[in-house]
Amino acid sequence: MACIRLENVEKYFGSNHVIKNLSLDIRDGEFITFLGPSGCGKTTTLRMIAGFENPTSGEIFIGNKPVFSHKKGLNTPPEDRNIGMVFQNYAVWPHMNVFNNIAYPLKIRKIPKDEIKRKVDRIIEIVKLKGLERRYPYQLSGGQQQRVAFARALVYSPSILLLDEPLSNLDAKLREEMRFEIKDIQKKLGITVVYVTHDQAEAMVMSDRIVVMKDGVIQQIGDPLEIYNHPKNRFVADFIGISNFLKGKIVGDEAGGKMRVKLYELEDAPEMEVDVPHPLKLKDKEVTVVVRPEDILIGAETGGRIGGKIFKRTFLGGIMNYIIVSKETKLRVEAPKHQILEEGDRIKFVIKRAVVVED
Amino acid sequence: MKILSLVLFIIIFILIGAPLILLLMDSFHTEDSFFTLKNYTDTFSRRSNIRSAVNTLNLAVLTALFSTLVGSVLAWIIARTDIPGKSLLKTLVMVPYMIPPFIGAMGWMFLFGRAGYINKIWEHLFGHRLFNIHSFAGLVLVLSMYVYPPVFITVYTALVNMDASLEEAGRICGARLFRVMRSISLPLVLPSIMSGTLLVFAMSASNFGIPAIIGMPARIHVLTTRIMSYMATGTERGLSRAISLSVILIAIALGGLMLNNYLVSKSKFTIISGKSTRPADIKLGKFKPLVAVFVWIFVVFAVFLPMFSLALTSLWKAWGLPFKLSSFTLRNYYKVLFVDSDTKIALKNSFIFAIISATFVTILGSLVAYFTVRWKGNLSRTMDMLATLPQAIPGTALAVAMILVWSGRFGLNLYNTMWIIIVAYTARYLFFAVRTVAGAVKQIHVSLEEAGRSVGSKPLKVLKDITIPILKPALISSWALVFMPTFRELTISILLYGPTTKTIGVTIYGLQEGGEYQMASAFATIVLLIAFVLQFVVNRCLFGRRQS
Ligand SMILES: Nc1ncnc2c1ncn2[C@@H]1O[C@H](COP(=O)(O)OP(=O)(O)OP(=O)(O)O)[C@@H](O)[C@H]1O
Ligand SMILES: [Mg+2]
Repeated sequence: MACIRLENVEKYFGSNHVIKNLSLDIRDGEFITFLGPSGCGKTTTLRMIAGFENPTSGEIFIGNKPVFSHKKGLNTPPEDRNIGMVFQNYAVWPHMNVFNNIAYPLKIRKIPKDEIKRKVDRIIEIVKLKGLERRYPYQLSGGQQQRVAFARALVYSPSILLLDEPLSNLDAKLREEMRFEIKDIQKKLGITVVYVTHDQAEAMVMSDRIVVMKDGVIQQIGDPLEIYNHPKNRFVADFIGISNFLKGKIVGDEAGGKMRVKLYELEDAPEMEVDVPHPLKLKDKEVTVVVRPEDILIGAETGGRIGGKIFKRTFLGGIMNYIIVSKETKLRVEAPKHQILEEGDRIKFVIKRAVVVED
Repeated sequence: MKILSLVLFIIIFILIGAPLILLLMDSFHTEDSFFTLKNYTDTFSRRSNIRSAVNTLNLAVLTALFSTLVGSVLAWIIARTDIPGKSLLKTLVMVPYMIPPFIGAMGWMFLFGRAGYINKIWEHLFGHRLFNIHSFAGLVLVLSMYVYPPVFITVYTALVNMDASLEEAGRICGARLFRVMRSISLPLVLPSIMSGTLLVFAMSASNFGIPAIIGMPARIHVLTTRIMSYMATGTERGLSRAISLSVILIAIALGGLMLNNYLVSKSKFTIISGKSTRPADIKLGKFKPLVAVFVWIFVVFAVFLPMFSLALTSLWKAWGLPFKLSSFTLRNYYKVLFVDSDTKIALKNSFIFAIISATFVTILGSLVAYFTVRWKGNLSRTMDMLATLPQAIPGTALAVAMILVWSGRFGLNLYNTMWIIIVAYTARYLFFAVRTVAGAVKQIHVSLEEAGRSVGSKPLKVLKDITIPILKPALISSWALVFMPTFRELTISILLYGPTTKTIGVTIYGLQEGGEYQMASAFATIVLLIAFVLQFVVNRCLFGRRQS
């Protein structure tokens, strides 16, 4: 069992309240990603799981066994948690060659020599480092060093792998490749992975679930699609993907996760059904509505009846990006690349889908 | 410019190159033969000379090992564990670096000499002395107490700057704390430790003050003291012996430093990474009080007690009076500062020598630094090498070399004047200025100067308006860096002083030798106070300002 549970974890650095009452269940074999802006506490949370930082209060369980409990004064040291970890700067030991770096955890575990050799060879195969066993870290590229760090973290078959922005020092191309390789290795070994990043594309591609954090507070937990389609609040919608925020006036009561609102900031103040995926705390008759750029279609033939004007056009390779203005409100729109409109053209558009979020 | 740099090169050559070359040549030269090993065979036909060379090697090796142990353990405790008062401890542990070794040796002698305070108390309690400082072990102990700081600071820096994740990676894959320390941290700081060890080896071989005060009373001679004795005979033969021994001494010190350079150039890894967290303090738990007590006992012995014994002696009316208030007096201080003409002259001399040398060094050193940074080439490289060479040359040997050049052989006799001391100081400490200023010159991008030229300034005006103002902090700090060690210098001046040019160091040493312990320690205490105040001012002005 390699599930991880954090219960009411708090962390202060001096008077700086970094993690605020964090509770989280990570399932066995899951690939979970902490995503959030710099300084939101992702690394701190990861390091608390590893045992390098102690929560100020709360409890942490690994495989249902408590490894930290403030109440019981329990604290299992990192070396007894059977966790693998890849550090952002790899932390490959400069005084050992590739083989010895990877074999170190096995030597610690007093595994016989020939078995060490077998295990290291196998993992070297998996991370594609064959032929580099005798090299020292200074003779390796960044990408190769990172593979060493991976191999070293995996060679003793830990049930949990912690990764702190492992791809941030690689070039764009390699980063893309590694995403799939990491995912591949995770599937092959059936290991629980906790991944930290502030790159949302990385999180989207790899994760089973994403934990969006801000200022030490979890904003939303969900699979990538859910987080994208049904962001819980303004922050999540803004942080993940591109969002148009519109004010809406409620004109019909909520029913079946839907609600009718009037988008009074747009020309003709259209009314439409919007999704309400999460329970709402309504203060007044106003809500914030998120519209994704690809959910706006331009042209009368798409059924568009809201009036507007093309404000700006940018070509982005696969798609055409427009900024349209409707009654002084600017909206970002993604259109197919063959749909070419000129700046200043009057248009009609339709909003296919919108979702209500908390502010 | 070309001419200027050539002139500069000739000056540096006469200052440093010529004396050393002459020393080496003279060591192979006798009246009958141009090249012969006779001087060496004669020198080493005497057992006592062999013994002094062996003693130097033994002392340097043992001191290097012992101070490496002390320095590294202290560094680890203060850098990495959770003992209280770490920043205070760090400062205190570095204090011996500011104390002139011969003054420190006096302090130790007053503690553990034949009639030293601790020995006397011990004798009173147990009927025998605790420890005789005038022994080889005592020599190693005292020397170690003044040369461990470089090891401490290199290892401390390496430990503090080490990327914490290197150790954490060890923990997370299953290694216990002490296993990580042994198999990861220790190998990673080993290059720093080795480097410190070799540096201390060279420092120990070159030291004169401590063997003179601790070793000579027990007739334990090392090369530096032996050379001094030969020079004191004033004979042609004595000089010839001193020359041979100086060459051997240079070889030993230079050997250590060259090995260090070789190892540094070979070490392939750095353990400091850009984005790294500082390692967390290791919790000592139940060992914390034990470790803290151990460290504080060390600090008390290494730092406070010798200074305390020095101060106590300086207040005593006469050595051996009973321990009561009426035995104490401030008269010794009064005598040193206002009565005794020797000490008054020494104070004046030392300040003058230090001020002139610091000024010479700063001017000459910055010119060298400027040329070697701006004009690449063989001339410039040789000049840089020559100017920084004396940091590897023991002061004793350098002083002997100076005598060879400046005592009339080439028409100019500076012997017995203040100028030979100043020339020697300038040669000895030139590298301070070269290093400090070169660092600063490298910071000034050429384009800054070219910008000056492009708006129409003449080269000299650019130097005056742009370059020198930017270099000012470096110039001031190199001046201070030279002033501090020269005003309380002993090793060089003891070989070069004349009747009217006794320095503070020479005078204190003389008082100590003559058994005038009260006067010697009063004078030494004054010197220490001046040194501490200067250090404080320098830290405040130079380093305090740079931070703000
Ligand atoms: N050892 C420490 N001492 C004091 N404050 C700390 C320490 N480590 C982290 N912090 C603070 O805790 C907060 C969270 O830091 P953390 O490193 O967890 O952020 P992060 O989400 O990983 O950010 P990034 O994406 O930049 O890595 C920050 O405000 C940081 O300044
Ligand atoms: Mg981080």
